[in-house]
Amino acid sequence: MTALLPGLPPALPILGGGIALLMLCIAWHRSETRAILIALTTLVLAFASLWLPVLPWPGDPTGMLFVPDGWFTYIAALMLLSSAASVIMAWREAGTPADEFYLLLLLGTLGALVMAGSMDMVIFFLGLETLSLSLLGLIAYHRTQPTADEAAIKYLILAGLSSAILLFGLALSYADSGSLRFAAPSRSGSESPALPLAATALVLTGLFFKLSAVPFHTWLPDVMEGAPIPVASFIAVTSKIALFSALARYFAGADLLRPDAVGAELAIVAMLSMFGGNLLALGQVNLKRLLAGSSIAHVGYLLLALLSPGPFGMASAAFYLAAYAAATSGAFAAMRGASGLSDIGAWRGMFHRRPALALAMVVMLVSLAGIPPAIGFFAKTYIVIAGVSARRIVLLGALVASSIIGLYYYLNVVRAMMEPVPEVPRAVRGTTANAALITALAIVTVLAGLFPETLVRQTRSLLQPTPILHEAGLGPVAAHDMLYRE
Amino acid sequence: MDALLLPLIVACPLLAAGLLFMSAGRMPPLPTCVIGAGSVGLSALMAAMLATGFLRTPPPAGALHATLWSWMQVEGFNTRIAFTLDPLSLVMMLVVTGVGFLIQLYAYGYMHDDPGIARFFGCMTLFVAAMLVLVFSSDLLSLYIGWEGVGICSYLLIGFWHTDTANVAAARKAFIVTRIGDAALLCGLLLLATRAGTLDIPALLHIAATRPADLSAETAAFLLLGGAVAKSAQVPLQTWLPDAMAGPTPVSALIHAATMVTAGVYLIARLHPLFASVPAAMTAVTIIGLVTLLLAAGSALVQTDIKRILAYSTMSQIGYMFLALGAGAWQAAIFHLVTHAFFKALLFMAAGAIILRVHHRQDIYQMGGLARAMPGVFVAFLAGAAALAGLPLLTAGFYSKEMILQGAWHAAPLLWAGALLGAFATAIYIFRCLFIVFFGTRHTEPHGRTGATMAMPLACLAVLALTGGWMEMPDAIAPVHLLSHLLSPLFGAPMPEGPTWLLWAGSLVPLAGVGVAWLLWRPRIQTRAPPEDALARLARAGWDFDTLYDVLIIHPFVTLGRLNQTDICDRLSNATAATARAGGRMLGRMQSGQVRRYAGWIAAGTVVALCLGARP
Repeated sequence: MTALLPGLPPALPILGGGIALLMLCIAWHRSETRAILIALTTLVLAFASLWLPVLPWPGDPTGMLFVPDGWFTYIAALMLLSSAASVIMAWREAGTPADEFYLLLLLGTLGALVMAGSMDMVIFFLGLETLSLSLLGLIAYHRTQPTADEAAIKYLILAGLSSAILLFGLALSYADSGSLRFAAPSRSGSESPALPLAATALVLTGLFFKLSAVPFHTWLPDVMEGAPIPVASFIAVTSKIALFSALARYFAGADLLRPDAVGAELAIVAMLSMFGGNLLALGQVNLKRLLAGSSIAHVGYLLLALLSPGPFGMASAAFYLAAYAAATSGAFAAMRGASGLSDIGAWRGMFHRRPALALAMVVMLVSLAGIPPAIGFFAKTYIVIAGVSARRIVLLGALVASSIIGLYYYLNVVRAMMEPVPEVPRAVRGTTANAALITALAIVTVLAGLFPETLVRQTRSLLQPTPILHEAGLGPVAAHDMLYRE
Repeated sequence: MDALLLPLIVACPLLAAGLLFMSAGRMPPLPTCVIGAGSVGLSALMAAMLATGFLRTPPPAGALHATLWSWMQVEGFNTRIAFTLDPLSLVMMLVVTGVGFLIQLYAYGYMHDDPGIARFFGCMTLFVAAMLVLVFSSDLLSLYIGWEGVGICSYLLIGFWHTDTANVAAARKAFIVTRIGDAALLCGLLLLATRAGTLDIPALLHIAATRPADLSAETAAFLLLGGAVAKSAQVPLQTWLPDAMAGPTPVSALIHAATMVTAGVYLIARLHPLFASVPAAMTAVTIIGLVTLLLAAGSALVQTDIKRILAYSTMSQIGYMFLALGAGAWQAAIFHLVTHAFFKALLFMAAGAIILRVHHRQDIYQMGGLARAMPGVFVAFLAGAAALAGLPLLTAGFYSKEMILQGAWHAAPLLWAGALLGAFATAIYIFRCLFIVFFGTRHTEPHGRTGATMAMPLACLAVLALTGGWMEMPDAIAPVHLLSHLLSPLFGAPMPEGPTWLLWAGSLVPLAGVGVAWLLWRPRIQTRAPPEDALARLARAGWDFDTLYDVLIIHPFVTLGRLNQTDICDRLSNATAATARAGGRMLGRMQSGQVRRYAGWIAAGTVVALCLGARP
């Protein structure tokens, strides 16, 4: 198959095939069990195919649409795993009929993968819209509930607006450089210096909206609150990883250490997101909204890693994404395990009712807060190391200060769970699959925190391609070959 | 194979602790005990296997290494979680697992009808695991993990009966006082890490041995000494140990006599080249040891609570070990550590057996005449007391104390005189306790029997307290030097022996002490009643260090805190909290729920970004 599709990562056709199969099955006979089996199998096959060799692009490297480099492999693996987590969470939760839920999840994953691997503006935009439109369907899946409808409408309008801005930015970029390559246009070769800057600013608006960085974040808490738990997890994890990866690719060739308008915007947004996300989460009584705030803050930390190029920069971001994905998926899975309790008040006394579930939740929150021995501690330390080596003093200060704010609301949930509550209605237990998912994620979160060396080595070896690709002045293929020969 | 056993010895009790805590008290007492004592017994078995292998065919470099994992690797600094088994940790391992197992066994008899038995055994096994980590670590960072681990277990177990506020207060006191030392230790470690760039013990010792000591090495040595002093209850941070007797007696035997309190001795012995390169620190160790040994022995002379007598005695005996360390007689300190673990654990467990049978009374004046009612316990206590007093030839304590006296003589005859005075007092106070408890008229009628699970450990330890000293004897008696031979790769050749009359003095002084005790506290004599003069009261209160600290530190601190309730620091932190809350509210207002507002924010953000770009 790979011989037919040079330059295309085999995971993409596999996902596409899975989607087609699932659609056929739905047309023939509905069955949630079969739908989830097809979805999981597709994800697992796609995951396994990431390690298949990709045939090099035969022609002119500038015509290449995808970069199947180490970064793509890593990001795609993370996204496939977190989508699988969402699929497992959705089991017996999706509603009736449930089949399309899995279809839309697969479709969204396909979009996310396309986006993460694309080199081309058009392909990128196609991926983005595939993700965004399937998200729309997912958010409104429980269509009889008014909150779901409200969330979906909000998302539709705002996502449309941001896509328009993004598209305008891409158009400006094309007008400036005449190239469809998805990368920040450089100012040096341009006739009018304002054009590339304007293009970048507009593209950033689109990306920041989807990443929900402050001040483009306003939709996220509302949408997360209205969406079903698996979808909230999908938005917070898979979609964010895809967008952060796209952002990283967009700036892969740019020198972010140079003080200019783009660097300034990124730094300001990073700082605003760190403080904004944490402050927003501070007063929340709804766990989903709290996690929305937390995910906004984590975008800020990731932007700091992006702004600290050097030996640690992208490696720390990659590590952080893994830590974030495990802990956030785990927190949502724990919510799903507590039959969707999203009110913090309802979590009171959870330690006495469901000690194992409460313990898992504590592990996730501790990891998100960055307390050892969970993986979140190392992830944050890694970003701090990257920031120190790039001398981002102000941003580091913001990271430390806002993390302290974060401690309050994470530990506040733990405190609520510890409180003794004499009489409570017995919560309905989640599915066994979900319990297994929580256990696996909790173990990963703790073990990876105790033995971070392995993951660090993985990320470090995977991540060198992207910068080399652009800096070496070689075509992507040449750099690609060079790397795979090593 | 052997390197694999090393982490297994630690993992065994650790796993058991996890299991016991997870059971959350739902397990019946017998399986609880089987898991608790069994895991430590298994560790002891593996330790014995490891030890025989080690002694028969010593590993190539004189030590076994097992690197578990590399915890953190930063440019120029890496920390490994690694275990090392060298002769010193071998000795400690045998003591911790061996004595630990006997005490666990005893604890079943002592605690089997307590509702919190799972919690008790959980903490005890966790303690054994932490202590083994402390002993095995080849890196000061993982040693610190063990150090804190034993500290927290000590805290949990002192306050085991937490419904009584006095117990909780005792636990808190122990925690806070040892915390002062822990903070000093941590500072010392950080100083070493920044100055030497490593916390690996062999690397550190190599640096200490090759480089002349500078100011940072001196400071580090003193900071580490601070940690050791607090953990081992030496003057001036000794006040927590007598109060720590609030815990169950097996806890006092294991943690506050045999193992944890000797962690400070172990630390100094482990880092002895570092200390030896700083003469001032060595002098400080010597003086602290001598002062503690004399003050604590004086206090023990007038106590009325049997466990407090033993607590002060523990302090005093660890003072001996410090004295030996300060005098450079490393082997003597470790030897005394071992024999002390035997006879002090024995004494505590015998005292526990008595307490259990006289309706939980601990005042020795309410006991009396128990020799006939419980002859087995009497024999055990007698063996322990004889070893503690160091009665010549027959007991383990004699040989180890003799070695310390020899070391002190080589350092300075004055030290030797002080230590001999201490030995005299030791014999007096422990035989005073023995005469009052076991002879004379009976004040409380004992009930029940001492069960087999309690009697067997007593018998084992009684044998050890008598014969355990035969592994190391002065040449004048028999040229046996098993322990110092084993430890000599680490500590170098032992000190030469002094003149023979030292041996005579060391043998006769304890006998004289026993004689004095008989004269003063034999049955039917006036002086049996506790003395009530000012000096006695002062000594009974542990020389009133508590009042001193109250007046000097706690009271001024509390007053200052009360006066300064709304100081700038408080205001600053309160203002920060208020700002954060206000910020949260402000951002919450941004979430109005109206889509046009949201779109407005996006537009505003874009415009600002464009303006940033438009700026020249």
